[in-house]
Amino acid sequence: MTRRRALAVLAAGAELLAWWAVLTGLWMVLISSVDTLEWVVGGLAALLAACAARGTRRASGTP
Amino acid sequence: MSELPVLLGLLFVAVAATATVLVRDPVRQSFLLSVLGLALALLFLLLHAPDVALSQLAVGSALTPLMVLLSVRKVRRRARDERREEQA
Amino acid sequence: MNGWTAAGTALLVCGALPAGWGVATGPVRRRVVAQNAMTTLLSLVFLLLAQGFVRTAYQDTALVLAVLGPAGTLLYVRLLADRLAAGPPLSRPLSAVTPLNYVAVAVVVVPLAVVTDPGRALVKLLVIGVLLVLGSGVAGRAVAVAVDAGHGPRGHI
Repeated sequence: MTRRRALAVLAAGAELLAWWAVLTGLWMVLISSVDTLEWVVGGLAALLAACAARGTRRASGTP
Repeated sequence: MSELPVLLGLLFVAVAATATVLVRDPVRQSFLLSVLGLALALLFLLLHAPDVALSQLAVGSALTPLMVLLSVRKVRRRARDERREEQA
Repeated sequence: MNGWTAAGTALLVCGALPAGWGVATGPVRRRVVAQNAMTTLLSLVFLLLAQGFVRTAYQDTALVLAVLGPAGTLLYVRLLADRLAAGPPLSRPLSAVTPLNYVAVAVVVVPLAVVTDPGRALVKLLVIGVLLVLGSGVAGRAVAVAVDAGHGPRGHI
């Protein structure tokens, strides 16, 4: 039971990380100049968007 | 020759706006409104105002048709319910 | 007026304006399909104009339209589902519009990608191109599904 739960947490974390990497990359591509502040703001925004993307995928029911 | 794109954009906006006013059915009008929004965005871009074009795109391409179509749906549903109540 | 601006104007006159006529007239199903084509073509026009004006920032309008255009088409499909379902299946010219959109995206984005220096600008251009293809495909499939919904499995005999 606990092992299954750990696997579920791990899968959720991996999915969030994948979304976050893709969305941060998109942010960095679409802005005009790259600096540290942009990395911070883009990373935070991408984290929010990653949670939203995972929620959307779960709500739509696609595996 | 270099003014040709701006002239085309102005003509496009004028035709789309006139057609939007002349069409009376709200559903058809929502399609024409989205065309008018896109035409205005094109004209703004041709006049070197991309920021205005961005906001016009956001409003014109999705938001205006959504509000028109939702209003049409609500009005029709209310009219149908009232007719049913009269018959009952 | 350079070659890119001329190409953008030509695409506007030969592609986006006829599609706009298709949106303004005719039955609802043709209007929805033409709306999808018009947003795709107009986004390509914006890309060509951005290159012609030598202002890469103008590409943002094409990016926004690539996201919002399919959203608008899906909106029409959702709210006019009953009108789309009533009537015969999609005619052959109408079902050819989505492949034509793909061809137009390739014809415009590939030359632009060739003249763009490798780097973030190139990736941005390719992202816009992929978004256009995906959006056009998703919206086209949604229209086809909505039209077929009125016929059921026996409508295809």
